[in-house]
Amino acid sequence: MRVSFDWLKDFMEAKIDVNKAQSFLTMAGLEITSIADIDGDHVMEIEVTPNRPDCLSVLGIARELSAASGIAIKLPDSVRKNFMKKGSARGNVKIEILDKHACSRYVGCIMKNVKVGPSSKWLVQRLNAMGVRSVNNIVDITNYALFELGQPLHAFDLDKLEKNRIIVRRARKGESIVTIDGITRTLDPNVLVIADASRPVAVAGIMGGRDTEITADTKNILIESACFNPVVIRKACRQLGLASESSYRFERGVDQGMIFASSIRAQELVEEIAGGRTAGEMSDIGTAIEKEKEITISLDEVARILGIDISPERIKDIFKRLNLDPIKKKDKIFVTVPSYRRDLNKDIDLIEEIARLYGYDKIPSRLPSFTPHKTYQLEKKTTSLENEIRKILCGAGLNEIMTYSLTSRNSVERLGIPLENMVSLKNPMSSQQEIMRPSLLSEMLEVLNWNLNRKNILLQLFELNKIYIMNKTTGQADETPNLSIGICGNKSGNWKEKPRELDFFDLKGIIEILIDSLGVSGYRIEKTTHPSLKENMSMAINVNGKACGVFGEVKEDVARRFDIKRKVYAAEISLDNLLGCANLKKTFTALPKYPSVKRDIAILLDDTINASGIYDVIKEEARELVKSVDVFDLYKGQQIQEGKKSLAYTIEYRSDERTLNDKEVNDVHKKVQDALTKRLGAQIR
Amino acid sequence: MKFIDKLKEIEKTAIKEISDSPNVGELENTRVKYLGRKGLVTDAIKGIKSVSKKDKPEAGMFINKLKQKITILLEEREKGFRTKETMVFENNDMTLPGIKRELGHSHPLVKTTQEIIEIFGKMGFKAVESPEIETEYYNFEALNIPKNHPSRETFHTFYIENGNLLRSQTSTSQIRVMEKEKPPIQVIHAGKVYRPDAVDASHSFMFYQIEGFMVDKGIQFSDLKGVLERFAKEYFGENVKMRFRPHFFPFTEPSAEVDISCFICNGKGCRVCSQRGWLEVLGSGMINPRVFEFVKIDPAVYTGFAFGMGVDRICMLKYGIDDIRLLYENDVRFLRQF
Repeated sequence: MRVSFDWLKDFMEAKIDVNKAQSFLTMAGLEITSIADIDGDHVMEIEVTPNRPDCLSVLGIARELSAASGIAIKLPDSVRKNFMKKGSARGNVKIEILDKHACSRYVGCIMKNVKVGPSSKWLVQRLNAMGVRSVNNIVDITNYALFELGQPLHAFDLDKLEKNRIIVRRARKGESIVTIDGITRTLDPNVLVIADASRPVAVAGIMGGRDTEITADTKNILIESACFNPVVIRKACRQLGLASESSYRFERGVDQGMIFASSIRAQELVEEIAGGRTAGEMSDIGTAIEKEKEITISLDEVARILGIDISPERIKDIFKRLNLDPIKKKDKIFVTVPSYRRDLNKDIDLIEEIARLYGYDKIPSRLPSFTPHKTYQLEKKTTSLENEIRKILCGAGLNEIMTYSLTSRNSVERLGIPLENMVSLKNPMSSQQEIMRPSLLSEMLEVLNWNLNRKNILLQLFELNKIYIMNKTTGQADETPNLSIGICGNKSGNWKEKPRELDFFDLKGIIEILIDSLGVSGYRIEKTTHPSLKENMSMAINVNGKACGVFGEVKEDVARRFDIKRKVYAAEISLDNLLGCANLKKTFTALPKYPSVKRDIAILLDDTINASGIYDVIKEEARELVKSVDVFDLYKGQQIQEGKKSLAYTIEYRSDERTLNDKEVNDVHKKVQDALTKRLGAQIR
Repeated sequence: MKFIDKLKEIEKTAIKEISDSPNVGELENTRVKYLGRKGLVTDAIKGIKSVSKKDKPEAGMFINKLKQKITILLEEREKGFRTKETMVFENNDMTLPGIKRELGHSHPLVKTTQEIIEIFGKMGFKAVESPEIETEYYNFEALNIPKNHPSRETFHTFYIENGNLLRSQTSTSQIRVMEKEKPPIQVIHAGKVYRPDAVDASHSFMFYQIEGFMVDKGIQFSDLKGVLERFAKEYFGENVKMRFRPHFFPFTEPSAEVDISCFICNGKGCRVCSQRGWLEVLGSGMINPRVFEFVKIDPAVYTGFAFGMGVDRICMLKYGIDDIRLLYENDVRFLRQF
């Protein structure tokens, strides 16, 4: 909230510098976020936390400044004398509270023969500093008192209140009111209103009605000072989409000790500024003032929580500054809490008061001892897997991305994924973020598109993040960690190498490096289908018959729906499944003792025969003697028969037991050649 | 002439012709002459049929070796030519750029998270998991944020259709962990939180937080200060100053907001710290006894502290990133900088 420093100074017995005040308040928990110069006054913007509605006034800030600085506080006599007072229920104002839960107190006062007019300069300036424009002297006075004491007031034109009556009640269905901002508000029983004999004249605690507002012709007024239920006010604000300085304070709770005093203060100002006179006795309807709370705190507890060695005298002094009226008995201190400190209820609340006024900066630092090697049930299990994946993929030249978990239904539809079991938001801000994503692929494609549009041509990306799917059996949303990979664009060339487009085998290579490095054994890459991937280009990574993930070329129409006109290759892998088969424990395998022999072989065979089939034949024939099989050439085209392809392999032979002699190598190589000829109809070239 | 002698003859002429080839073109002709489809060696392979059974193995082996030998010689000779041809610019102009391999980069948010967790890890904090989709109980009630309390207003929240919500702060992990564990507890949790804020340079509807807390007998506010000061010095540098300001969080009491001296201007005031000299980096406090009551830990026996920080904000401060959207746009020109 805003506070004029000039105004604040009025409440302080001694002079204080603005910078000192800023530092005192900030270090006591009222952070000054900015100070602006307005007409020679320093206007401070103060962050008031929701537990301290008592600080939503100049007086409240002054109390804190006084507690922090030790400078005594100075109150207007009328306020000092009437604080914690309750007036008579039998005054001359006809007030009826029909909903005592929603309105616990209503103080009404009638003033006659006021002269409505413009406010004097000082009043206009003060309100201006608080960010409120001047209306007329009466309205300005009610606002002035609100900012000064924190108690919202409202002034009605008495003569426009039918039968001069005030009834606090719920609005009836079908009732409406034109508020002073000129807008017609439709009301219902959720809204508490102030009514006269026949109709609502104000939305209680929020805004007055236009029909009874103070105008230049107003002669007699009724000033309201009341206490409304915070929840009732908040709900009405929500329902009406309306809020005000008054409702802001009522929602947070006002000080019962100040309700009567504020009315007196306003009357004093009206007499002084607008020349009216209070007519008859004011009425104060509703509950009696509650007794002040008492709290006991033991000195040991202060040390246990804060770790400071503080004397009982120092604690008592802090409590005195806070008007807590401390009494020490043995190792305990008893305090009485003033009505405005509704946040102080338990000893821990008092410990906080001690800490902040003692100074957080004076509390010593120490490093706690801890119990090492404890394991927790909720310990994160995927950390090392994720870190390993990052290491491998970054090493392979991929960049990591982080995207939003919220996406649109449309995005999911564009992937071709059915909109089933979605985790949808009840109150999304926009359709762009209406569901929790069921796949990482839509954001991957978005990011690829974003980069392509910015002429970033080499894109090799991955993301480790969660996906969200509603679990039908539990009725709860499952959050599962996934890995997505997306590649697209050109490998840039240089003066030695030509650029080339990334393709399926670049992605397959990444997948193989990843899976191998994670120590997954016995996996197979097999054909599968996936709604976003091309039919013949969709591969599953299967471990023990269970799919860990998929990869392949993204369907052209899917890519196009993300505005991508290039070929895109993508993968999505479940970390939970991967976790089950990865083996990050590295064990050393002895280096080979005997040399290996490499033999090349070129074969011509039907195009329909897969490389994996050829590999299997070689492996089966040469058994443990074959250590590696590399394809170093693939040719299809004019030089050879249609429907055929030429493949060239380097096969590495080695025995773990002895050096292979030429004959042994020739024999096994011959065996391989024969098998390829016989079993696959290959021609050896 | 015996078959084997014929082969030896071929070997001799081949070696000579390969070494005599004056250029790549001639060398290619030599290759075709010997290894081509109708080349001499190829012919010889076909001719092996006519060799007597006795001599066949020897001849076969010889041909194989011959073929290998010629292939190697051809390759070497070719390499020789290539080197000569390319040497001109390769060797003379060392100012040509090096051939760079593409390097991958982790996302700055990940780096920031890892660095922070590592520092707390050294102080004994273990990383735990906690769900993003939560119930009102974990996000509010058990954290001492009752319904219809003004303190709920600072926590605008996304709800999902089954009545649950997307957590608005990682403090939910305090409840999740304390429900399952007996003190001593010392854990840290990093994850996403959601708030319905319109996206601009400093706001996002989703961001990352790190929550840490410690519960044991004898844990004091002094411990909170000690741990966070250690963290600040390790992460932001030994010279950084730290300031604890009283604040309010429903789940801690006393609560503190923690500022560090601006490491860009050393506290003198600059654009990054809005001329204040201080940067707010985290919220913290002693765990509120009310929270302990919810998880059935006796506040008369145990005390604890908790802290939470925004990873995005710290990441932006650390790297001097001025717009939070850059973190989620994932422009590779941005990603490659980290």
